[in-house]
Amino acid sequence: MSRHSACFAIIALASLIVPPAISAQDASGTAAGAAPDFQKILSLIDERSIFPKVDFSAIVEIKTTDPEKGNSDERSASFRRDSLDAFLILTLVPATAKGQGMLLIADNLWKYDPMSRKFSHSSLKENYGGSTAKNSDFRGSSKAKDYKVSGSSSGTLGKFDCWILDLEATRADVTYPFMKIWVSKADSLMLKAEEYSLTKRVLRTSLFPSYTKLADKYIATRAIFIDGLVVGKRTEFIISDLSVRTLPDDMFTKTYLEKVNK
Amino acid sequence: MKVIKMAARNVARQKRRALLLGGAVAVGALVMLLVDSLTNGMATGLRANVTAANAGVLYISGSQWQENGTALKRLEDEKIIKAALADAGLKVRQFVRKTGAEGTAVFGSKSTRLSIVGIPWLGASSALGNLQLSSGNLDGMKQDSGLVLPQSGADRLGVKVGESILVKATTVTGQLNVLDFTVAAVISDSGSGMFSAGYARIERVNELVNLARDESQQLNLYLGEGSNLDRAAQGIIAALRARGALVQDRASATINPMSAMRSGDGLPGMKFAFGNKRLDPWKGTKYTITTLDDVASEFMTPITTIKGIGYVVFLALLAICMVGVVNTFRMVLLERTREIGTMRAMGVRAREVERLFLAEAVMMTGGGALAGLAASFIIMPIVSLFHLANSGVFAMFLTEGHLLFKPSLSGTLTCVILVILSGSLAALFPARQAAALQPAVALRSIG
Repeated sequence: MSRHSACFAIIALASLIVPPAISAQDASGTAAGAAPDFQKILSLIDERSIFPKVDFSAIVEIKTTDPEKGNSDERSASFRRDSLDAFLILTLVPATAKGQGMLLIADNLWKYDPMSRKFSHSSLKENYGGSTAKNSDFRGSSKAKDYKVSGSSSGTLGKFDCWILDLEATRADVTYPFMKIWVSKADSLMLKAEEYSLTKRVLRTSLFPSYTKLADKYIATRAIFIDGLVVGKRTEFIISDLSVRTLPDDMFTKTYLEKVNK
Repeated sequence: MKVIKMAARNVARQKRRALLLGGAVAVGALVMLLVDSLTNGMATGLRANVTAANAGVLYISGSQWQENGTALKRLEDEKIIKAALADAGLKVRQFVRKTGAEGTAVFGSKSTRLSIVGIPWLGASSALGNLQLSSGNLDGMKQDSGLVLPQSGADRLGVKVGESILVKATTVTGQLNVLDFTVAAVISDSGSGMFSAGYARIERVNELVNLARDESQQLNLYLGEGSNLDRAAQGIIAALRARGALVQDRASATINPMSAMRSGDGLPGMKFAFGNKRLDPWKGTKYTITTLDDVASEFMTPITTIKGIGYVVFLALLAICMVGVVNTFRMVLLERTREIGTMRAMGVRAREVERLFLAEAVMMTGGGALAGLAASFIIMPIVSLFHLANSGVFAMFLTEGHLLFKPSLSGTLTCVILVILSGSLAALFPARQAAALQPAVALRSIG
């Protein structure tokens, strides 16, 4: 099956999976027929993905299909404190990688290897392990800050009517200089994103076929990242056990990672 | 002169003993000379390979601080550098502008990490000199998208000459970009991953990392023969600072390259990728000066280790030879006691007897050392005929795939002198015993 056929099949399947129970509202509050303020929609997308007042934790199952290296399955625990822009990803499965961690604190991203007990610098721009996901995918969205809407059109994605927004990075250090996103008109949820290089080549296609509501936020419980260059390579995130319980303060420290692995 | 003639005659009288002892000494000398020549040749090969791979011996790079705490690697003003070089009085044979990108090469469903070095190409020629091509030819470099790919990369991608690959890399500001390149030729890997880079036109690589076509990240210099690189680097730093430029200290610029890359700092002047670590701010362009020696020093460890092992083996063999010399001359003393007594009775002084013994020791050990030297000059060219490797870690120490033996005058002299001195030292005690023999007592001895 070609990459495009696979994409379409997933979108079609996704359109059956997205729970109709999500009570969405017209994000921009505009009257029917009028084009909404798209920059506000971006802000809404960001706002709904960030927890400024509470902590957020979840279990993330990461399935990667790599035509060269084969399939891999990983399960990790994800902990976020968005008020500090901090997160901790702790690998639970497989056993060979158990205890490996990724910690974002004070704009520095650290990777921890329990075997060598060493921390090494990483970057939010790097891929997570050998997957198609980026380290920054574990964070909340920051589209309004990173992009401006340079164009818009109307279209459909499966059975959803969408706004198709062309985004251009507002700063020279944003990873993807250009993006195209599909935002459902009914509830302003981002269903699909195409991320482009500086030369406008598709680097990655991201699909978000299902969301769940937690407090007043919307978290994609399934995300599929399809590599735009390497044929057949993709990564799927399945997010479960979502929680907003308060996490211990020492969780977002290097000491905690070392302690957990003792 | 008389002593020397007598010593030579005495050595000739006991040919078998002399050959055995001299042979043992020759083996020790041979080991030492081979190791010394081999390590010199490996160091020469390493320097030549690094120079060729990096197109230069002295590297000047620039970086500018960005709001997000990272460094944008770009050389904005080459004029100030050239003026500083003139101030420092350096003879530069050639300048090579360079831009680098680290990213991923993709071909169908296969991908591999790839470093690409962009340098100026004049048609099919570049400052890289003779590249060991395993396929293709450099005519393909006349086109803008031409790429010379290392063998390991071509094997991993399964790509052939003439085919196009995609290269995804990070721009100087940290954005992702993709360009296609056409494989013009494939070259043998010259060693570790650090040197296994692809080569492309600088204009194309600038486009990939979002620099202007006529910009660069680094200026590499070929200096005049015999230039002291460290002194040259210090001279450039002083001259740049005198012109008000911000220059990184040599000490911090020459930290262990491998540690720098692991920690996310990057190797100044060599690592082009977007840095991971937040940096303290500075204004304008910060220059970093590094040399071939800084880059090659990390890889000198195996050479130093081999040299160390060689010295240990040599000293062990020398110690064994010394024991042999001591025993030999004790036996000589016993066998020639009456002869010594006769000589003393005829008026030969004790000192002359001692000198005679020492001269015999010097002849045997010296002869052995020269024999070892001669053997090494026969073995070295034979071994260097064999083609060993074109790729792999070992290849970086070879010269066009062959071992290079480079004997040094100091190494050879040290070996020979050491052998002779140790032989003399070993024979000293029996020689003194022989000199101390009373003629009457010696003449009375049986044997």
